[in-house]
Amino acid sequence: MELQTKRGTIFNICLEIFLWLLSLTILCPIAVVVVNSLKTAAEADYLSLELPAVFQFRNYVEVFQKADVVRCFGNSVVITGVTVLLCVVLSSMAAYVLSRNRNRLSRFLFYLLLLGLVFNIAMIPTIKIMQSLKLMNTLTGLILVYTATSVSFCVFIYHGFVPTISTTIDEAAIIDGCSPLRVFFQVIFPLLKPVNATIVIAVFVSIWNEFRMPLYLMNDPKRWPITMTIYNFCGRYSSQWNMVFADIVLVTLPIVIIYFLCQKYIIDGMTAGAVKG
Amino acid sequence: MKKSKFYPLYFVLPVLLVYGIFYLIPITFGEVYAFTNWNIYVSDIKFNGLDNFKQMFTDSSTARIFWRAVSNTLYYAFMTLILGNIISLMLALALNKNLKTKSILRTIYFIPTMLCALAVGLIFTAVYNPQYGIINTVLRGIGLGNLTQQWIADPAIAMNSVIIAGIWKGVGMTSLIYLAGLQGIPGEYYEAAKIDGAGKIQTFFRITLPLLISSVTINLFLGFVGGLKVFDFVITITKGGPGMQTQVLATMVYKELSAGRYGMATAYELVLNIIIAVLAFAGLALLKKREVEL
Repeated sequence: MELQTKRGTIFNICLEIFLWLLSLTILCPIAVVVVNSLKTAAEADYLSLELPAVFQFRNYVEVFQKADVVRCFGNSVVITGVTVLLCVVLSSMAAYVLSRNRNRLSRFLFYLLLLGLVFNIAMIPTIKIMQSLKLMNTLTGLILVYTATSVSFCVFIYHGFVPTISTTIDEAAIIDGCSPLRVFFQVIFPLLKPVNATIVIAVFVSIWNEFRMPLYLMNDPKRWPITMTIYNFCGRYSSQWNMVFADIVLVTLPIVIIYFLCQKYIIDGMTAGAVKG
Repeated sequence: MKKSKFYPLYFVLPVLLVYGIFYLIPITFGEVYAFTNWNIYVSDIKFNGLDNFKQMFTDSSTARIFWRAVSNTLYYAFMTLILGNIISLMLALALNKNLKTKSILRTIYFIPTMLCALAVGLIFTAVYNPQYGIINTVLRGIGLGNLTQQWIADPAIAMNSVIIAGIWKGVGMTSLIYLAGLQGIPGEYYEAAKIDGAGKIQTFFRITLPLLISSVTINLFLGFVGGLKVFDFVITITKGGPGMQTQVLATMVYKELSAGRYGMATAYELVLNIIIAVLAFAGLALLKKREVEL
């Protein structure tokens, strides 16, 4: 037995070394971005991993000033935050009912909702609808479109996990006289915690990084999310890698910080293991 | 017990409302334009039946690009699906082990997923740079200079270069879904298997994989549909080139749209949507069937 655990430890150490070597395929390109974002335009042309002769922190100041990073960051926080909240609450409710009711109507509605995973949104008719609802160029409009395009994924994921929660749990709550809404929010929703964590990260990352919708739906640069700054910036400074890289770092940094802040919760949420077969 | 009373349909209503107004109605009306001559040069939009599709399939120059785009789309989708899932599953199994630096490693492998597709495209443009890019520099550095490539400009490998970028960004999310699935498997099962004397490979195929099947379904379905829709990496890394070598259906839609041929663009979109619908739902039905069997 002891020999076996010893062999297990050696295997784990080798595995760990291998994983670190493999991670170079991620770390090297990232390092290229970070290092070159601190060089002069001429140095950055070589795209090398050498440290800059003089650290050009001014690149960041310049990007900050030219790309209106602070305001766009605020827009992104509002857009992404509200969309994530709507997606988690609305899709988990829908998936719960659609998964528990095993009848034809539920199955039809589930497949109808899955269509969103399959077909791309049709941009021109969407713009027409937004115009008639006076939602063009508003954060509300963008949030509603994002929610509409994200719920399919969320319902799909929740629908797969709801059956792992035994129906005896809801039956017990129902017998105790809880209303359907209370059964869901007080009993079922907390049990969905590991899935919620997955959904929050997935939706957060995809909405934060999206840039095609605002391109079509938002003409007003004051309401742009932060990704639009990369798009805009690359057009103007396409030949200056240092500026482009500095902007990429600035846009990505918030999401990395949020990930670090949530990481403990994410991993705890997953290891809580409320989902059992 | 009457089920509908405890699982009322008004739970579904808010989702259906948002989804209906901002997604279903637009895509339903959108497809109609595929059968019109709508473009920026005509003032009145007329129905022209199947003319757009006729041109797509039979006109010699258009048809060649069309079939190239179809085969590129399928190639990209299958390659990223198979390679991406194998890598992600192995990564998830490794990261689920009791390693000292587990959480740092998990974070590192998740970084590409956090990046915007536009940024990934730009990063790979830099990485693939034939003169100064890091890949060719490393190859020269370790004496394998003859393996250096024109990663983006060589028509024979440009599509593979795009696929590598797609996998690089996708693995973080896919392995996260596998990791969530792995952690839902009760530890007692593994103990029981150990007591029964099951080997590592046997344990994997008899316990891990069957209990992971809902994660597998999710990843295969999402990966495949996402692969067929690929747009961002192609447009940022190769722009469909060299020539038309790496055009995919989604970039053809964009190409027609920016040329002002809205009717034709919608026709391409319709073809893409039909391909996705047929392949994705056939695949999903197959996976669901397996899920029940297991």
